[in-house]
Amino acid sequence: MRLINSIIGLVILFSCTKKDNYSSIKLIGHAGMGLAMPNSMYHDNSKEAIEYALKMKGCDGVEVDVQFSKDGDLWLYHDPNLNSETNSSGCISELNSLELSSVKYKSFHNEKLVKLKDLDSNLLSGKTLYLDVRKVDFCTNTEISTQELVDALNGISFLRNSEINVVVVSNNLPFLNLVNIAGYRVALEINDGFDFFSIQPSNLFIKELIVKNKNITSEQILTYQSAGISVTIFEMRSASGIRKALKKNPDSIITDDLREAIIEIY
Amino acid sequence: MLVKNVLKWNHKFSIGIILSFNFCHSTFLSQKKLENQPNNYFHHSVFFNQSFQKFDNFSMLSYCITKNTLFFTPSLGVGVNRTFYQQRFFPQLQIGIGYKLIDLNNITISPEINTVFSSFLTIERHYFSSLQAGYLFQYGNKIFLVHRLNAGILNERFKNTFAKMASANSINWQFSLGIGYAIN
Repeated sequence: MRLINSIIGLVILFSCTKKDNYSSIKLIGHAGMGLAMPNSMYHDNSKEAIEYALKMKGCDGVEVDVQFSKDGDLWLYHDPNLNSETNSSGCISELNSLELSSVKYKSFHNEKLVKLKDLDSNLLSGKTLYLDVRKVDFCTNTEISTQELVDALNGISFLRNSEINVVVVSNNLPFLNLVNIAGYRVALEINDGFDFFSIQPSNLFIKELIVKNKNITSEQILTYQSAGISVTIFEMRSASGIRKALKKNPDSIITDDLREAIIEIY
Repeated sequence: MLVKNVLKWNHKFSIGIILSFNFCHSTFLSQKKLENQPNNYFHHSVFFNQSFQKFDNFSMLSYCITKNTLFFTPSLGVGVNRTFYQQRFFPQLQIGIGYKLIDLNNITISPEINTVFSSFLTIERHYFSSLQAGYLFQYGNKIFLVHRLNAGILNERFKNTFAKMASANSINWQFSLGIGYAIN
């Protein structure tokens, strides 16, 4: 009996250590609940995963991967080809919306692909929506017209809702420039913490950077923040990776494990 | 419509968990006494195992009560990563029942059913319940090695931002290795 009590006492003791406070850092779910995460209840970039993430207290938004269909609609899907994750084949850009509406993921719930405009705007109210826009057609290896993409974004009414923070993400500066002129917030994806310093003078419209957790240091983040540029870091799948990312004190993190990140922050 | 169907399914799943929990108890306790069974009494053993599951690695302590060919295994454990690294207590209770299909001198292979309950706190408390089936493999007599492999359906529930219970189902699995001691 004393042994059992001692074990219980030790467990509770280790469970009650005070943690650092990261409540000012925004928490964004990568593709909903996480990209290709075994402990995600739904497939990434599905409507179910995004809504499940947005309903979780502590989640400040989601990042989704957006691709252009043949008839100009924006669909959420991550991979270059449909056959890797769904019951269909080819690229999103080769199919029209009618064909894509019957495509399902090869997952436990067989979730359907979802159009960007079909997301629940009520759940997004007060949250941030990062749109990682695929500018290159993977099948033909050609660039999609920026104007067509901007027109497609303009066709979605909730993206203009002032209560939803919409941020278009890309590593293509000219594209981001045109999207910014069209009135959308933009974020530049950079390879490492030094990248932006080399191109910064001519790109004053960039106010947010997105970079991989392993490719930036806390000092670089502080330098950017001092210059009025917010930094979002991504690619952290474990509790230790999330903790290391939070210690760098970015403005936001895009995490693949929402539950673990909420535990680390709160 | 979709929400109603999901809630209906979760409601049935919850009832299924409770029924299987009662099944484990009642089936074990209602065994008929075998006619020519010389040693028809309860055998007790305890084993410690490390269980690799979807949401964490659990350190589990199990107590096994065997009568004839059926055994009943309540287990208690904690998720190691959440409890010790993240300082967020993550307990788990498992209730299992199995049947000794192959019972040789040193080796026992038993199909089993497990109900698993666990919970941890983020901002809201997340509740996990799972119904799994698989096998338990034992090697040894007084001191034995144990291996367990189960898979089944998992349900997660938590209070969402609208103060309503959000719920989702998925697949759960566990792979565990451990060592045990036969008390009698």
